[in-house]
Amino acid sequence: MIRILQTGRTSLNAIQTKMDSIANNIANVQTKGYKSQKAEFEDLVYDQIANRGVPQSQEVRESGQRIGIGSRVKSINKDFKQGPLTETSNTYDLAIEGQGFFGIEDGNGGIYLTRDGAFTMDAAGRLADSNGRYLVVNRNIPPEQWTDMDVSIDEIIPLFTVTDKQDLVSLGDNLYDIREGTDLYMGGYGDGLGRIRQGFLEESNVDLTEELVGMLTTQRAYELNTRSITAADELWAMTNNLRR
Amino acid sequence: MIRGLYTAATGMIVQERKMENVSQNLANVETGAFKRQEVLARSYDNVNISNKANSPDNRRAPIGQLQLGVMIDDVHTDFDQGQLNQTNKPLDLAIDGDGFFTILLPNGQHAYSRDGSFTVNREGLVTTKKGYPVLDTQMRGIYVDTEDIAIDERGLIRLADGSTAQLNIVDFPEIQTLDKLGENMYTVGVGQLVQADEFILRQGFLEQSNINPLDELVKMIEISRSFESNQRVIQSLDETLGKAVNEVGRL
Repeated sequence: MIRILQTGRTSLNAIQTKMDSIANNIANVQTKGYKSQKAEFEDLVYDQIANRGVPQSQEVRESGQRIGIGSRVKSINKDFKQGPLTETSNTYDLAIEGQGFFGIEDGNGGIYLTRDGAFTMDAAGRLADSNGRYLVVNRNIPPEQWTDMDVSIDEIIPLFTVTDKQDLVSLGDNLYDIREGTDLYMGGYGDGLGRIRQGFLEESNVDLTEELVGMLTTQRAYELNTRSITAADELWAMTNNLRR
Repeated sequence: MIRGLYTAATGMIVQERKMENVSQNLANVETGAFKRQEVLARSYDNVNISNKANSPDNRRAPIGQLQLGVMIDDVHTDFDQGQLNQTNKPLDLAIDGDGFFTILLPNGQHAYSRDGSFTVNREGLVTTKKGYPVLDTQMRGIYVDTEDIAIDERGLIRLADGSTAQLNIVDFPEIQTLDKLGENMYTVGVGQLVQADEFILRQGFLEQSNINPLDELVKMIEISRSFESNQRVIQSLDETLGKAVNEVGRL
């Protein structure tokens, strides 16, 4: 009975985590440059079951049969597929069409990565994000030249990427931190990292239909697993009532 | 009567095991490429029953044979195909048909899995989400430059520089010899392994669990009632014993 309860508990935990990640996706359906995340599951180790109460003469007493003890979340991975671009006609709004990231100075000599290209021009003529952190650029260009756009924007703003995008840690504020030991590559359009579109913003890549369907199935899966806890409870009650 | 108590108890134990297994199946309703298991029960071997009490010279008078309980015979894994869901990610692979991917464990041993949700690590090696390398037919890891790779329906990976790598997809003639390892993987004890042939590899798809919630819930009811029946048997035997002890000998 205890094993049934524990199996039910592990899966309720895992399914709860999946629901959390779906809720986060739905909450960020309007967040610029947001990348949806997905929880995947795996089964836990298997327990050898002894045939208790079986006479010694039975050869299958030590059967070596194994029963599993539940499930857990294997990974919560981001899906970095391209989000749709919407036109804003703001000259400081940039969107990446491709797999690269903008670099944002973290103030300590390092950089964060982001896909959110809603920048503003500050008084010093530097592009900054909504929290005032500066965009990494190859060279500064004056604001009046910026609005005319007579230089190629792909040459001014470098793009970055890492080999394993799952090494990126979401910091909030649409920023990603780079885990220690990860190689950072800098490049641009010519290196296949993508093209920068001026006057566009990248929308969240959350597919709301998919998330809502996921929410339904996850909720039902949760409900289903509460059944095994109820069942264990019933079996235990019957055992307790063996002697009336 | 006392013999019956133990027989009913073995029934309750087996039903409990069956319920454990159903709860394990339900717990993995969302686990990728999970294969449901079934607990098979069988009765104890026959034992000879004889009657001593009524024979004049106290000789054993054989009555016949009786089975005095039930136990678990086998835990069977049902390798039916799970449903394929489209994800459109280049490293989500599903085997449509028979076969398993070959995975290298940290201890150097090989494990087999049908859960093809792979990723590329920072060295460019194709791994499972847990970081274990996926092997090719030469039992080497597969290095790719980018996640956007093309894989054909036989598991041949074409890399950007023109070279190719073939995913090692194997099958087992005696599939029940596979042991579940957890983490969506299997190991093989004594069974043989061959190159899989009857499959189509689908890129951008993932295989779902092959659990049918309806089947499992029906089984749950069946187990619960069967457990209850055994419990009733014990209760009625208890009552009968109570009568034998307290009423038969009353003066």
